[in-house]
Amino acid sequence: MKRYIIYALMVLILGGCRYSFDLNDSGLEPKICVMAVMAEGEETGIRVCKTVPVYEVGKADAEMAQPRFTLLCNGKEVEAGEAEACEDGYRINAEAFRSGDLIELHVEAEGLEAVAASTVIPGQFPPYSQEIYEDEEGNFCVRVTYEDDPETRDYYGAVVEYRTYMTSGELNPHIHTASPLSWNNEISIDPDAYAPAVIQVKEMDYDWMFIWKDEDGENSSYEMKIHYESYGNGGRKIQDTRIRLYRLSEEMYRRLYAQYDIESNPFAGIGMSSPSFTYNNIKGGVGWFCSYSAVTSEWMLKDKEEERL
Amino acid sequence: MKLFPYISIVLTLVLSSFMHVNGKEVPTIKEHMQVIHEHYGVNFIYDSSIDMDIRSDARIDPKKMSLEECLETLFRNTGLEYEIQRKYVVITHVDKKRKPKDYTILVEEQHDTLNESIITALLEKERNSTQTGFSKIDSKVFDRGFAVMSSPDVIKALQQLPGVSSGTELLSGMYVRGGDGADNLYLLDDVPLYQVSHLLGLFSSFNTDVTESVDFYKSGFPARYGGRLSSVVDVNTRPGDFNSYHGLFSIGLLDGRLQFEGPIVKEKTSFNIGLRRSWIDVLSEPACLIASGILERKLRLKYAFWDLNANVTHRFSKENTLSLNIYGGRDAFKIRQEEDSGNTGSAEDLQEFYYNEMGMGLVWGNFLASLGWDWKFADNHELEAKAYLSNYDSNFSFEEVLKEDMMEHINTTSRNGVNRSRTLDAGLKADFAFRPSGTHHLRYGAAMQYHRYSPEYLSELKVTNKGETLKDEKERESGRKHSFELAGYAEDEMRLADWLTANLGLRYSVISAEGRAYHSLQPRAALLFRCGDYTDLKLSYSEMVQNSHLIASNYLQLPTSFWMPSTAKIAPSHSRQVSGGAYFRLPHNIRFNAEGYFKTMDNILEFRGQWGIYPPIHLWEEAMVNGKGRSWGLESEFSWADEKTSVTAAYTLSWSQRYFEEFYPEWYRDRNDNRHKLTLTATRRFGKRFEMYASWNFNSGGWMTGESHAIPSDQVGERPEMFYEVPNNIKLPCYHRLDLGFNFRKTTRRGNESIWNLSIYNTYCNMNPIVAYMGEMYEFTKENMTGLTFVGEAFGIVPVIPSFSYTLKF
Repeated sequence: MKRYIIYALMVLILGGCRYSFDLNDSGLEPKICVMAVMAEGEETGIRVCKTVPVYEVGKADAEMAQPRFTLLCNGKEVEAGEAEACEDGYRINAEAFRSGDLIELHVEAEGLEAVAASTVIPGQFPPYSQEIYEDEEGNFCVRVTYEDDPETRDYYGAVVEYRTYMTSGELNPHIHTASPLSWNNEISIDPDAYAPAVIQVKEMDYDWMFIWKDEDGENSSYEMKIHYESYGNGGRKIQDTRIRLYRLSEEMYRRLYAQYDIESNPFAGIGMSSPSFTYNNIKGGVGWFCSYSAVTSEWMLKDKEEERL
Repeated sequence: MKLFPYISIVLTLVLSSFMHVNGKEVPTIKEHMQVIHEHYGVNFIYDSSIDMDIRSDARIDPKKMSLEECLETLFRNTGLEYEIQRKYVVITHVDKKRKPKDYTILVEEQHDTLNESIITALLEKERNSTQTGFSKIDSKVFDRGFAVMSSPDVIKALQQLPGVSSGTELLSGMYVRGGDGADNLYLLDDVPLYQVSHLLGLFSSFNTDVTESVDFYKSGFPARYGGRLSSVVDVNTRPGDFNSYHGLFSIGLLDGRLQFEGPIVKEKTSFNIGLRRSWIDVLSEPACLIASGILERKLRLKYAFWDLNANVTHRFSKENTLSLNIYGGRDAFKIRQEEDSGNTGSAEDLQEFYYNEMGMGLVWGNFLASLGWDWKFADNHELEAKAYLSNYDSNFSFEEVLKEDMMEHINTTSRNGVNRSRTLDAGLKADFAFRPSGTHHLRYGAAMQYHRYSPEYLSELKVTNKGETLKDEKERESGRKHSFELAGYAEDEMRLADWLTANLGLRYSVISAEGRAYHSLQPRAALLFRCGDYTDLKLSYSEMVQNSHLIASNYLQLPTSFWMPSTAKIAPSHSRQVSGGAYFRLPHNIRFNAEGYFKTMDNILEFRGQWGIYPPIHLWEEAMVNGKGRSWGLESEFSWADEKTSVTAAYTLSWSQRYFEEFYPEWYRDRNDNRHKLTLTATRRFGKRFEMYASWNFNSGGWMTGESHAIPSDQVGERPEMFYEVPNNIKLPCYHRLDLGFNFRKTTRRGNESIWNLSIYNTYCNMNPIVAYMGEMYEFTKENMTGLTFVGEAFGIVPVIPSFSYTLKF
């Protein structure tokens, strides 16, 4: 299908006339940018910097005056010292917050509109059981079954990690992230052909994270079809697998889902799609202010050995 | 001289004897008109200053004479002339200076001042409508007016009105007062039509050759209309001529048209058929041959559309009429390419043989059929009943054959599939009109509709060779839904005083789908204050509910989108609108209208994106996001006309916003938030043979979403970190284009009218953008050491398009 879209677009592009237009008419202003992905129980750095309208890149001054900020936890101000200047703006060092904490941030800087943002640190991933198996087509699947609270709106994430053994039986200490089974964007009978939202989360150094909200999982279980890559000296011995399970704040889920949208939407960059791929929860500015909590399972062993290639 | 009194007496006696025929007085012109009206069913329209009580000895016998002969006889030497306009005869003074220019022959029935349907006032366009935001376009406008590709068009005519945005070039929709394009109710002879465009919106589905009039409402909706949020486009086709055969054919650059009408049984039964067919495919064939030569692969690209309107009307009596209307329209787009490497014979070439054939087809269209019965069961009470069927379907098909001779084995893969979606409506409706007195015109009625939505029928066949799997056939029909909709309404047009008319109404509708029923009461109110002869003030409030939703995964307006009903998860959309305006008729035929509005919309839907060209059938409810919209603005229209020239200027100042909490936590501008819109049109007649038309359209650019903010990097050539601030943050270039049209009229030796039309679309070739994106370029300067700069890049694909057509009316 994508191929046809590309053909159609090429016909447009080749048959048409391309020209530049001025972006200045959009009336954009420099903004304060806040970027924070706070983990429950861990100290977090909140990055604050200045952004400029894209058409002023290379022209406008991107230097930011020392920002003044207020960080509140459940309505009480948190002592966090001054924002420290760093290579890419300023950094606010926040203490470790606990599940259920409402964190609010207000930032001001000279010459820029003041900004505000908030998030609630999510609770732990609910009790769960995990299972690894092969489906009918021989794909590796990991299924997590958990107890979702029907009274609350919850957002989840999962990263499947594995490590391999050499044919000699020696453990390769490197831990890999399992990528999703590549799905087919062509017309397909498979009802799950479009299913999983899987994104690469750069801020968390994970290659692939499966994300979903409680409405997506059936009977409080979520199934991930994954693709193991071959490692080892010419072959592999099937590996240990474990799962890192996340409870995401709503802001975090939306931010990641927006990232998924932009990566999988062929019409997003050309103004032909709904703006679902934008996410910004910094009032008056740009960026994101979000949080998560995570648990890591024990290693699971999959009892399968493949032939040497 | 003495004889004079006697002569006078004799003459008086002779004259008086002439004035009594068989003991009766010589009838007046009005009485003759009544006879003609009763026989032919035509209504007369004339200025009340014309004295029709003059006695006329014209010998009129409608049983033996045609309508034209009757009128010719009646008005000969009276100083009056007539013009037949379908069911109406407009009478004016021969003295053209006294001939008013801006009249309409199609009037709201409530303003008829005589029960016998003789209209005694020359009515002005839209003036007597109580509704705000109402425009009436009669077929004459299409004769003279805008004709893209030399083919007059209903939607293009409506897009020129204030408050209507046309969206992106080529992918033209109709965005009315902040609407999203899928919230316009298109009615063809009272039957809903789902797909209204051919060739990506360049042509509309309405054939103007058979169109009698178009009623367009963007606010103040009468209670008899419902089902969409933003506008009503009510297109009425006309029945055929009951007395004589005539028609037209037209050959244009891209399409041909044929229309023919006449009696089946004279004065009883008539037919009217209109047919259009494009021949773009004929032109695209040689272009593909050339392209195939250049690309060294066979390339075939075909596009064609056709539509047919047919009407058969039978008059049982003056009070009873039965009519059958059929509309069928189809668009077909096919692309196929073949790549055949042949045998290279080269031992070094691993790939000795390669053959790839790929094809894709997209076919879509509507079919409508309706049977209507008009019954006037009392002088002041009539019924219009209708049973109808409306079907819209689209088929997407693909096939691929791949043969490879890879070293020692031949691998053959063959895949094909089809995906079809369909929306079917079947309905019954009954509309009553009752005039209990001269001051009330009551309308009431009920409608029931069954909707069947079949968004996906999918079949796929896969045959591979070396990879084994010889045949893998799959078939699935999913997402089928049914809904049942009932609606009832009542409205009363009340003349409360000479200066005050009100139209108050209420509409109730209920939709039932998947065991869930949504009820709604939609109040409608419109007031007309007549402040003297020159000024009217109008005010209206209306609520509308939309129970069907267009599910589209992108803004390309492709026929791959489908309609679905409200469900347990997706509630009906709802709009409220207040509108008010002042309407002035100034001296020297100058008119000026100014109308303001404020509109809110709830439960409107946006797609989450990411699914490419086809929305996900099995996940469509999850893929939709619920939000709100609001819009407000001021629309003004200025017009002036004399006998030969007319000039119109329409300006709109408007705001349109959206609130989708999942996308952004505050209100943001809509993508069609075009702040200013200006349309200038002028027509000029040079004698009887030549007329010219010009139209300049301007609107502020629309909006797209792009990464608007950046943290610049110090590193040369390094891309900065990019952020989105708010949806729809990048302003596209302003839209403007000039269209010109020329008509050369001639009467052939046989007395038929022929018209050569030359039209030029986008005369000064402004490449209005169809798509745009953020472009990056490197330009190292002292100020910009990193070199990277961002610019907007736009693609326009519609250049100047001259076209011509030849039309012969016979």
